[in-house]
Order: sequence, then structure tokens, then C-alpha cells
Amino acid sequence: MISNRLFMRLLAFAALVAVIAAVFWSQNPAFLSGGNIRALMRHMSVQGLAALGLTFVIVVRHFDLSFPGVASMGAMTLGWLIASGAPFPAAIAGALAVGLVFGLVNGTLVARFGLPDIVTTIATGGLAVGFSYFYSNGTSISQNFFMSGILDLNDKRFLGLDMPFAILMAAAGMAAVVLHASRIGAGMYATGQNRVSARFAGIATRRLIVLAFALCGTMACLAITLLVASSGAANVTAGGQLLMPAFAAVYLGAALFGRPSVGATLAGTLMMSTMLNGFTLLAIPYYYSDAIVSTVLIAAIAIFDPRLSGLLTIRRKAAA
Amino acid sequence: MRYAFFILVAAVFVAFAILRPTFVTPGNIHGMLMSASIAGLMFLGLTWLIAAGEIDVSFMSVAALSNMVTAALVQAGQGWALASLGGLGAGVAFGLVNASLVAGLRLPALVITIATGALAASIAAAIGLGTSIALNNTGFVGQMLGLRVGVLPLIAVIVAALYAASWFVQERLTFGHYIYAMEQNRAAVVEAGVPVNRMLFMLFVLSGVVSSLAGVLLAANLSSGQPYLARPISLTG
Repeated sequence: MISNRLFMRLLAFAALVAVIAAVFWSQNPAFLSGGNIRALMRHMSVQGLAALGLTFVIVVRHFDLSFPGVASMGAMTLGWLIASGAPFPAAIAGALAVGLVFGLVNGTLVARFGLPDIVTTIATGGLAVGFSYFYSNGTSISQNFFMSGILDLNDKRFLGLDMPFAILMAAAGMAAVVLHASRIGAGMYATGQNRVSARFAGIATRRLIVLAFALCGTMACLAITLLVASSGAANVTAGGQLLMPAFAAVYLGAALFGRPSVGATLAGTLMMSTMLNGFTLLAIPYYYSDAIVSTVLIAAIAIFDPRLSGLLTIRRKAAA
Repeated sequence: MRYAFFILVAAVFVAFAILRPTFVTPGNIHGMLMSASIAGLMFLGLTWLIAAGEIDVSFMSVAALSNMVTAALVQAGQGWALASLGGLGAGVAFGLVNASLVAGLRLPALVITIATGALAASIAAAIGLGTSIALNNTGFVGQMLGLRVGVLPLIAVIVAALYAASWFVQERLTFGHYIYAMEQNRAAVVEAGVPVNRMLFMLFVLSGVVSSLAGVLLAANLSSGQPYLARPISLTG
């Protein structure tokens, strides 16, 4: 029964992607060329990792607006560590640590001290952006990048897949296990649906919320690591481009599949990346493509409204 | 403790005045009051929305859009009157969109206003094809900004009056108490027979209007249209 419903949704999703792809392909046949599809998958890897992290926070029904800023700081930490000669695994660990620390701080402030999530994460995100300027006064860092081996993260292949996409798949696999096949994930959904009854059922709701924020921060930094590896330079504004697509991917996915989940987020990311890639290929200026993407997001939320607004009223009641 | 914030502001002011004497010259204070009033105008709508337990993160992008619409109309040879109306119209339009989606359809405010904000920002960028528009005259809006009451810029007095009025509405009138009550317990306010959705609708439209007003004033103040206003202001809001 459930599989029947899921099948219909998958079918609808596949049809939608096919229509979008067909439109772009009719405008520019290069859209379906192997090279472009690989470029699309690379783009999807960066956006997908950030969106996967955000999924956890949305599942426990919170918001995180800090991850773009945290990602910028992660990028600059990575760049600075590489420029100062650290081996690249250590540099990546440093970047991920930044995400982890900020995520833990966010989670603790929100879950333990009961601060409002939106305002708190706007503030911590701003803090992270500020810190990211410390390393180089805001100039981009690219020393040592060629020698360090970080570019391999972008260029190598793994089991026939491009490395970024392989990383995304591995991360998605792990996220799916945590969210859909473990007590942690079940607890997160329960926490999101009704905090009070989840706590009475013996779920450590606060710890799960902290974990969700920590995962969000860490994965945003992993995403930015891939972006830095592909562009070959660390930039203070690197994280800014993650915010809209990540929210759009999570909500688009949740709208398509009825609730936020790993699969839904991947589907949402695939759709966003397909559109953005297509617009780039047709040489449409970014401001038009931004406008179309945000319109699609609004439309998706509005059209698939009942479930989402159902989710929201639960959140309101829990807050009250 | 209640006045700690005001003491802090005064302390910062004194510290700057000592560290850099030009800080207290009339020119700088005038400039500071001017930008503070325009920003304050923009945040007025947000204040009410947050008091009501909602959020609008699109306001700065809406201001940027109004700013660009006004600048583009002036550059196209229209008068400032028409251009200002156009800028305000853009703000009203986005206020209505936010209001119908959030108050009307009960969609999540944060995500919707992230999206409408991005939409407004991209339209603003599209109007100038990604760059700013420089203006060679600032029309009657510029003259109005130049007016002074004593040493204070007129606009600062007006914004202060608006804040006083909204303080009165929020603290002394039933309407204001409903807004606070909405944040505390939406369901209870609905049960009490208050038209919550209509009030929210109004608040979102109002937020669009004050943001676009600020955008129009900025067009004259900066004598240009800046599509990327949104970035620095988004945090301070």
C-alpha cells in the first residue's frame, strides 16, 4: 500500500525531471551530453551535501540560517591550513571541525537554553562570516593548492563515479541509515512531530536537536570543501550560495514526497541542480535563474500545501 | 538592567567621540541620523511581525527592489513622483504576495520569505542587469531628505514620530495587545474571535510598504539604485 503511493510520487517526480530535461535538451542538445551530466552531478554534490545536513534540522522542526556563514568560515579555515602547509586530510578535518563546533554551539543554544532558532542562527552565522575574514583580511586563498592533493577530491574517480558524487552518495547512504534505519532517526522524527510526547516517551530530545545542528554544520563544511576543491581557491563569500538552494531542495523534496527525508532531499537537489545547470548552459544571467528558482520553490510549497501546513501547525502547537 | 542597552549605546557613543573627534561633528551626526532613520523605517514592519511571532526575511530585498524600480523609472525620464509610486507599488505587491502566502494560505513564513526575498533580489538585479544605476538628480525626495528641523533631519523626526505612534498602538491599544497575544498563543486568540489572519495579512503588507518606502528614500539618499543593498542590512535587522 505504502509502496504503491511512493511509486506514484516517484513516477510524478521522474516525469517532472524528464519534462525539465526535455525542455533544456530541446533548447540545447548539449544538455544531455556526458560532460554536462557529469558537471550537473558535481554541482549536485555540493548542494546535496549542504541540503542533507539541513534535512536533519528540518526533521526536528528547527531552522538553521547559519550554515552558509559557517561554510564560508570552513572554506577559509581549509584554505589557510593548506596555505600554511598542513597535509590536506588535516586541513579537511580542520574545516569539518569548524562546522561541528558551530553546529554544537547552535544546537546547545537552541535546545538547552531555549533561544529562538532563527535569530540565534542568524547571529552565529554572522559571527562565522566575521571570523572567516580573520585569516587573510578577506582575500581569497589559493597558495599550495596544487601541491596539497586537495584538487584530487574533485578530479579523481571512484568506482566510475566522479569523486564529489561518490562522496555525496556515501554521505547520503550514511544519512539514510541514521535517519531512516536507526533509533536516532526515529527519535528525530518523533521530536519534530511532538516534542513533549517524544520526551515523555523517553527520547533524549535535546541531545537529538544538538546532533541535528551539529550534522548540519559539519555537512555544510564538507560541501564547501568540495566546492573549494573544484574552484581551487577558498573564498570568504563561498558559503553564501548554499542558503537558497539548500532550503529549496529540502522543501521541494518534502513537498514532492510528503515529508523531509534523505531521498526527498536528494530528489529536490537533483531538480534544483538540473534547473540551475540548464539555465547556465543556456547562458541565462544568474538573476533570471534565481528568480525562476525562487518562483518554483514558492509554487512547490503552495501546491503541496496540506502536508506542510500540517507540519507547521504541529510546530506552532508545540511552541505554544 | 532594563536600561542596560541604552547605557551601552551611550557608552559606545562616548567612546567613539573620544577616540575620533570627527565622530561628533554635525555632519557625521546628521549622516548617522539619516541612515539610522531609513534603516529604522525598514525595521518597523519587522518589529511588529516578530511581536506577532512571525518573521519576514524578505524586507531588505524588497527595499532593494523598490530602490531599483525608483532609480530605473527616474533614469527612464519619469518624474520622481511617478518613480516613487512605482517603487512603493513594488513593495505593496511583494507585501501582498507574502501576506497571501503566509497569512492567507498558512505557509511557513521563514521559507516563503526567503524565497520571495530571493525573487525580489533577482528582479532588482535584473532591472539593472546586475549593476547599479546612478542618478543625476534626486528630485523632491532628495529635497525632502535635505530638510531640517533645527539641527535634526526632518526624516529622523518623522521616523521618530512613527515609532512613537507604533509604540502607542502596540502598548496602549487593544490591537497591539492582540499582536502580542498572537505570539503567545495563536489558537487562544483565534478562539477569542480575533480575525488573526486578517491582522497578519495587514502586518505583512505593512512590512512591504515600509521597506519600499525606505528603498525609495535610499534611492534619493544614495542618488543611485543599488541592487545589492540586501546583504549588509540583512543581519542588522
